[in-house]
Amino acid sequence: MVGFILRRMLLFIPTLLFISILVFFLIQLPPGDFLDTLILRMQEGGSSVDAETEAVLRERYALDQPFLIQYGRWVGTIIIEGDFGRSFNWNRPVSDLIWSRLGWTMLISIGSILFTWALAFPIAIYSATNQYSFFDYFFSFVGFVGLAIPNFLLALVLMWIGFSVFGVSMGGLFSSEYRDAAWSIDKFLDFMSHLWVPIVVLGTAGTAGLIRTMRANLLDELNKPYVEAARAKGLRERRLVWKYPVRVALNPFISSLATLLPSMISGATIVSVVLGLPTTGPLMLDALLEQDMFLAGSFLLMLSFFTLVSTLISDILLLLVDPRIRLE
Amino acid sequence: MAPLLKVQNLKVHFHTDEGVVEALRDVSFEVERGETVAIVGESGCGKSVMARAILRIVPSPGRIVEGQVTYARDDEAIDLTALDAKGAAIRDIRGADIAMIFQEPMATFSPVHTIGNQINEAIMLHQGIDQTRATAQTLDILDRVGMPRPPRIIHRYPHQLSGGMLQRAMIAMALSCRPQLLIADEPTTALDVTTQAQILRLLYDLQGEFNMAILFITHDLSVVSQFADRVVVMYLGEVVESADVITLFEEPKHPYTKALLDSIPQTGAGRGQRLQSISGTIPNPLHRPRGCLFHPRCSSFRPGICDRVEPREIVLEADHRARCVLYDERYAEAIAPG
Repeated sequence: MVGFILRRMLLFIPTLLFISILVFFLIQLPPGDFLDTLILRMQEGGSSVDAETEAVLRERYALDQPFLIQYGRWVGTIIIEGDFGRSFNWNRPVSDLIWSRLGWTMLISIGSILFTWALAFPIAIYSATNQYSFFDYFFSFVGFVGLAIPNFLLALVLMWIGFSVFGVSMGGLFSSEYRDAAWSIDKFLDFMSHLWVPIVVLGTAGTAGLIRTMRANLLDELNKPYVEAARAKGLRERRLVWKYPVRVALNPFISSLATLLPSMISGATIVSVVLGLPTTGPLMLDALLEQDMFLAGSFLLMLSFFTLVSTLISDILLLLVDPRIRLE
Repeated sequence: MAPLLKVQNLKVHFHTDEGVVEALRDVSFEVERGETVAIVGESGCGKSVMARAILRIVPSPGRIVEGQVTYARDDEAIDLTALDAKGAAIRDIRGADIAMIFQEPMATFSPVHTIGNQINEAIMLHQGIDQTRATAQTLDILDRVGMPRPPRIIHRYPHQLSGGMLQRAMIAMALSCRPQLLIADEPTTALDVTTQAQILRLLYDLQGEFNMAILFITHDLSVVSQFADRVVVMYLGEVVESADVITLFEEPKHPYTKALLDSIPQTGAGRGQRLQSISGTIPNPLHRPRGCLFHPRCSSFRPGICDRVEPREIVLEADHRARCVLYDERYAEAIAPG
């Protein structure tokens, strides 16, 4: 097992290297570069940049060098100095920008995942064990509606409800008076009153899908002989459903955890934009739009790393949970 | 002495979208303490539904519509059909008084729990003891069923055991609480012949040791002849004949039983001879024949009677019954020329 984990982690290096080249290439692909966008915006704003200044800037940002040199400098700096570069747009080190937002992103993501699980599992189990009952149809209907409604629409609606019913300005994670204040009970309560919107929005999206998957898996398992055999032993219905078919039906769910970490980080970008959340999603979106190379590239690299890690974690979990899968 | 299990006029219906399927139409038989009763029949005759009806685990949309199943626990007669299928009373009986083993041993165990865990569960549930004491009993019962190295086996998962070993484990699990009645739903069908012989031997020995009755469900007549004390032959939800094993094999009365016995291939029979089979196929349970259910395939078919009259069960001798108009006095004249 340890050997397996070590081998997989060693494979991270060539994978990440390959991804980094691809990422860097793709970011550069649209014609023009960051400087072009910047100049265009400045021109729209009224000021202008003459050719000489432009050439100087270009050299300063090393935007005139061939692709491989730029790539080499970027990767080299990362590996040797651990410096992810500087964001053109924000004029701050990339690491600062990402790390500060990562905390909030994780918090919101973990909150919404827990919300999803707490809601989806009981509903799915009820649906599967009471197939064709009224509530089964009801939850299926709600689930499909939930899948169909775009998240950002739900976010807007909830924000409006929060504002018109509770009189709270719903954008962001804090009301304006608390944003820069020190932590206190009041600030915490204000935080909670804002937090529920993103958690519910992101949570309901995941809930619908999880309910359908779990219900389908469970229905498959409920008809199997080992469930009948457990009943014939005299077990209570609820106990045997949880101990046996639910346990087996979890397996496909665990393999889906592979994409959990990366989706947590990319943080439901559109919803974050709508709600004005200080998460990594909007940051990433802007970076790509502006061709802010170092920020975007580092971000994608980090995303890939987390994908590799969470795939590995999901594989390990599956090994632990299902005795039929063993390394031979 | 009341019989251990008495099934009377049991009717089980399945309400499906296509119509009502009468899985069991009027089934009656008895099982005495310590004896082996074999239920024989083709696929679709209702024998598996029968087994599940006794334990009240008939899957929906099946329901017991009529009839009684009376279980004699010590001096108490319990009507199993009157109990709540999810209630505590029937759950006490399942696994403890009446246990069941199934056809596919690999599929009967949960793939993600150890053998030990699953056998302990039954013991802890019915005897209310802790895991350490339950494990001691599990090791003991695994030893009794001839499992090699029980201390190793209890930590293994089902996929790590062979079919024969799993069947032994399943028998161990069923016998762990010393049931009075063991319902065996085709326990040897999925096994090769050698393993089959071993398992039958095991069941026979354990039956003697535990003084347990066995309700043995099978479609294999050769197994029946070796193992059963009495035989109940079923066709399409009805009991067509019941007798002790010797009488059934030597003097079968119902045409279906005779046809079944004739269809057993004989080794050493002349080469080039065709296998005897029963003409026709089992009818769709939604479109049952009128009158006698077997008449479209019967070699003794009497037009005018068999396709109009539903035969009732005739008592031929003390223990021998057949459901056929051939033995019904009311039609003796109409049938006359044999």
